[in-house]
Order: sequence, then structure tokens, then C-alpha cells
Amino acid sequence: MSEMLEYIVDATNKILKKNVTKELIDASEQGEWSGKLWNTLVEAGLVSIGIDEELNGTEGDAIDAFAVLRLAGKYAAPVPIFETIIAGWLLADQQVETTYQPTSFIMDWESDLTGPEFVLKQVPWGRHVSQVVYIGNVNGRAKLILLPTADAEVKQNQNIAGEPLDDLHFRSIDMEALTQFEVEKEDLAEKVLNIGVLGKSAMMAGAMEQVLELSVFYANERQQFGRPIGKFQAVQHHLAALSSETAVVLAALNYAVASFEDGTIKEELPLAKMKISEAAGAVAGIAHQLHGAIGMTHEHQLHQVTRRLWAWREDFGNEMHWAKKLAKEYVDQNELTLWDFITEEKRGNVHAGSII
Amino acid sequence: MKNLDLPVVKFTAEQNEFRKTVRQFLLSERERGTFQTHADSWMSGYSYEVSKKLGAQGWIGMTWPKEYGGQERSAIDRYIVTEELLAIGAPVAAHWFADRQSGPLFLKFGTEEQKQFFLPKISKGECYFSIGLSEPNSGSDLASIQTRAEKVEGGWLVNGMKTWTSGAHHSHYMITLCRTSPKDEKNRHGGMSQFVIDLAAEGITIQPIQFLTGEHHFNEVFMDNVFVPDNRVVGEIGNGWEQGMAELAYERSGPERILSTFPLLQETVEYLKEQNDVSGLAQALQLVSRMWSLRNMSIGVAQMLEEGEDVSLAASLVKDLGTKLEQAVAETVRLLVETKPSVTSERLIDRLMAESVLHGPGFTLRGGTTEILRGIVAKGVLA
Repeated sequence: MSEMLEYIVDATNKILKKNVTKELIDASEQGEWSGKLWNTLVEAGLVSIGIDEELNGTEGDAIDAFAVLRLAGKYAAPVPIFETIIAGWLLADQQVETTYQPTSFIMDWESDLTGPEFVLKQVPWGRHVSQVVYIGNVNGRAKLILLPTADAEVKQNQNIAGEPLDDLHFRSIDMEALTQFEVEKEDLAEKVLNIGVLGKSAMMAGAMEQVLELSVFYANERQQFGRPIGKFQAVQHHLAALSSETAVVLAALNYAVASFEDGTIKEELPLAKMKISEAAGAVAGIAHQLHGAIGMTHEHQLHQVTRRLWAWREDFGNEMHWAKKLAKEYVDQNELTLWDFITEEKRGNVHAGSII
Repeated sequence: MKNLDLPVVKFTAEQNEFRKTVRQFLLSERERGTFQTHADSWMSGYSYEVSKKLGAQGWIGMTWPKEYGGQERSAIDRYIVTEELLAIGAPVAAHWFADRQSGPLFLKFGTEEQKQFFLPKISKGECYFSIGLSEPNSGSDLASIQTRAEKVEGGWLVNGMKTWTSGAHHSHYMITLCRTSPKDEKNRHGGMSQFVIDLAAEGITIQPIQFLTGEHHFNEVFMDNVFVPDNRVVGEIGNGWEQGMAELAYERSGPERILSTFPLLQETVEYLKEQNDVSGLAQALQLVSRMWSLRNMSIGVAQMLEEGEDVSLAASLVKDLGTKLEQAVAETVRLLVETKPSVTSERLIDRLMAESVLHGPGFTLRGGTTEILRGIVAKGVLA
């Protein structure tokens, strides 16, 4: 880890540990906006990481940003930091200065926005964001547009982790007046998918680290039969399984992130997301078994991370989504043996679809 | 809480070229009939010819100093060779343990004379080692071994018995863990020492233990007043446990804990591709995703070993997950491709399936059972 990255991780860890409490996450789930946390993150430069200084960004690279998101996932920070960082990058690519406003993004190549009235379905954090970056067809052309949400009507909805997933009803949008850019569909779709998958994967890896920490704490603290339950082999085996799943998830994530940073990412993306989504269910299941009944209560904080794992493993394609996509690619164009496929450096392209 | 991140290793262009060279060599050797592809061939496939040919290429002991017959190449280069051998299922058991464990043990703890005597022969693929650890009453509880070595004039007299000794009937030597002072309950890991026992020495009796298939790769090795000269003590008397544990890190984290059944998976994917079976392929690729992730982890451990870091926890994690994956390959494949598992079948996939299923129980036992590994991991994270 570089010194800079170490500093970022250390500082982010301190901020999140201090500011993200169980009560804060509960309140967010009740609909409250975590404004104080958001402002702290803005001041620390964490919502604008990976963006050049001349565009009001914090500098840093994708590796730094994914490290921050891993911690955001670990502490279940109830703010749209993932969405804002990614939307910020997409805007920065168009030379738009970052504003530190909570921002969401949505990619949809199925429909065509013509205005003046339309509904954006299932916008992450829709009720709390001031703007949405929309990537898709606009009047028949591939575009990236910036939609202010001030006048949008919100129909509330949430994922199983209680994170907002709202429908935004825009009634009279003057399409011409919007900030908008023509884009290369294939390139942008691939980029959004890459950073979306990696960002979510980083958050899931962080959440799994937290599950492991909570489990270790509980195994040391909880006493039955006159000793901590961590003294029992059956429980130790649960801890070992949690550790190994977490370690292998980190190995998948770190390799994929390194490939993204050096510009070679191809099959690493689906392979990593497949492993990480698969591990999410296993990790959550083992941790609940280890925690017994207390882990099923709202009072205990375990569910704040396990529900996120169950929600996020479906985001940006679950393991079967990616497995099928990869299988199709492989059948269609791959002349390589499986071993060539695993060990070759450059190997065909996995094209993005419209799954966000 | 321990950090579970491992180094990310990306192969260099030279390393990728080297991989191609190794692969090409192995493909052409297979083509000309030097060997056939088998599952679990690193444990059960013996070919002196293949071992010698690999030695001639400089691919045994390749990280060792040149003065001892090595090539002074990196641990990552060695990793590439071992992976290629496993992926093609080449018979490499004869030299595997000497290359992986015994050689590094000599380099770390051996005398100059031992290094000069053993290492060049090992690297030529002509000198094979077995590992003498388990005994009839000492399996997972290895510290309870009873084989003892008593000091005599000019050396040691060894008495006892080792079991599950893979390849003892092929090997020239056995690195043997013996008790050199009486067991002390307060210091369970003290009082043990490692000896190089010449398997042709007087007093050695090797008896086969048939594997459940009837194959012979395990043995019982009886030692009845076997004389071991002083210059065949490895490292320090009394330090055998620590020395042996250092070996285990090499043993537990390598690609042989992930790829034992890879030939079956590769054959399956080829078959599904021919059948245009996208749904079957998708299921097979989920195994590939697990394999790819674990492979990153295992290479990360190889890098840590190269940097001299403690990898006992990380190696245990790799082995626990990797060996379960090796077993899962057969269990998944059998539902994707209809096979009639048979070791004598002419259809390759039937044969690989048979080998993978029949050898499967051993994957999670050998080199430290899953239960023992999980104990190590749990103690590591609870501490």
C-alpha cells in the first residue's frame, strides 16, 4: 500500500468509525438524511476522490476511491457516497466541475427519454439526492444528462437494506435546457459497468470484513457452558469459514481493482463479481448462525451489514447473470482452452449490458 | 483484527513468455506419448522420465542458487512451472516433495555438505524424497509421535514407524521427524528433530498401504535400529518441530491445493462448448470464478514467501478453500455432463471423473486436515 493510500484509509476509517453509529443507520432507514455525516465526508474530500483538482476534486486514483468505498461498505455509511463518486467521475470525464452535492446515477439503454414528462424507476437514494446523472437514450441519441431533482415527485421505495430506491417522477422537463453530452454508448456503458461492479464489490468486501469482526467479537464475548463460545470447535470452524471467504473475496477484489487501474480489466470483472456475490450469501448465513437469536433482532447491528450483503449481491449483476454472460462470450468466440482463458493476459471482451 | 489482504501479483511479459515455453514443452511431450493427463497427478503420477526431463530443463529447484544446481529464478517463475504441470495433469509425484519441501529445508537449515550432496541431484530430477511425519497413533496430533532417535557413536539409531508415507517405494530418502528427548507435556513441541533417512539403509522395511482404489502410493515405513550418521541430522537437534512447520507453509498454499481436479474441469468446459451448452458452461464458470479468486490468493502467498513473511495463516486459508473447490469440481461436473466414471475408460472425461471422485477424500485430509487448518485460522483471528 502506498503511503498516500495508507493515509486515506486511516483517515476514512477514523471518520466513519466515529460518525456512523447504529442509531444513524436506523434513522436513515426511517427516512432521515444523514446530513452531518455527508458534510463531514465532503469536508474530508471523500465524495470527490479520484477527480482532478482543477475540477474541484480531491485528486487520487481509482484504487484510493475503491479503498474508501470498501470502508463505506464496512461501516454501512448511510449516504450515497458510491453513487456520488461514480457520478462525479462521469461528469468529470465531460469536464463538469464537481459540486459535492449528493448525486445518483442510473444507466438504462432500454427506454428513450423524450420529455417533458417521465419517470425514472428505482433511483438509488432518489429522495435525498439533488441531481441524477442519467446515461441512456435521449431522443434517440446516446447521451449523458444531468437532471436536477428539485421538482421531481418522489415515490418512496427501498431495497432490503433500507437504502432508498425511489421512483422519481419528472413532470415538465425542458430537455434542451439540461446539461447534456453525446456519448459513445459502448465505451461509456462498459466504463459505468466496470466502476459500478468494482465499487459495489469493494463495499461488499468491506461489509464482509465487518461481519467477520462482529463475529469474532461475539465469539469472544458470549459465554455458554461456562466459557466463551469461541472455545468450541464448531464455532471456531464458522470463524475460519468467514475468514477464508473474506480473504478470497479480497484477493478477487484487489486483483480486479489493480487490473482496472492498469487498464487491462476484462474477464477479471465478472470473475470477481461472481465470487463476491456468491460469498455474500455464505458469509451472511454463517454469521447469523454464529450469532444465534440475538443476531436476528433489530437491536443487534449484524443485520445492518448482512441485509446490505443480501441487497448488494444482486446489484450490477449477480453471479448467474455474469456467469451466463461469460459463458455466451466463451461459446461464441473463444478458441482458447480453459487454462489458456484463465492464464492469458488479453482475452476478448465482455460487453456491457443494461443492467443497472 | 488481522488484515486479510494479500499482495496482488501481476505476471510480467517475460513471465508470460516463460509460461508459454513451459506449456509448449509439456504439450509436445504429451503429444509424443511421454505422459498422459491424469487428475491428482502430483500425488499419484510417477514417471522418472518426466522428472528427469523437467530437471534437464532446469525446472526443478529452479529458485535455488546455481552452485547447488538451481537457476536462481523467482518464486513466481517456479509457481508458473508448478501450475502448468498441474493444469496438464503431468506425472510429477517422484520429484514433487523434494522440489517443494526437502530442497528448501536443506537451503534453510542444512549443512554445506548436505546442500552440495543433495541439491544438485534433486534438481536433475534424479533424487526423490518422502516426508515422514504421521504415525499410526499420531495423525492430526503430530506432536505425539513416538519414533525415536537415540545418540550412538557417530550418529543416531532410529526406531519406530511412519505411515501414509507417499511414494516411499519410489523415494531415495525420507525426511523423518523423530523424538530425540522424552515427551514433556509442558513443552509439547520441543524434543523433536529431523533426520534424512536413506530408504535403502539396513533396518528399513517399506510396506504398501493400498489406496481405496487398490492403487499403491501410501506406505508404512518401519525403522528397526536404522543407523543415521551425524551428518544426516537436518538443522538443530530439538528444533525439528519449528523446521517442519516452516515446510508446511510451502506445502499448504501452492497451486496443488487448487488444481488437482483441473484437468476434469477443463475437459468439461471443452465438452460443454462443443455442445453449445451455455447454461452448463455458466455453472462451470462459477467454479472458474472461485478458482481464479483462490489462484490470486495463492500467488499472493507465494509472493509473501519470497519476501520472507509469515504465511501460516494465509496458507491455511488457501488450503481449506482450495481443497474444497477441488472436490466441488467433480460434484458440479457430474450434473453437467453425463459420465460413466471409470479409471479404465477410453473416454477421457469418464476417466478424469473417476480419478477426481476416488481421490477426492484425500484432498481435505493430506497436508493437514480441514479441521486442523480451521483451528489454526480461528486461533489466528480470535487472538
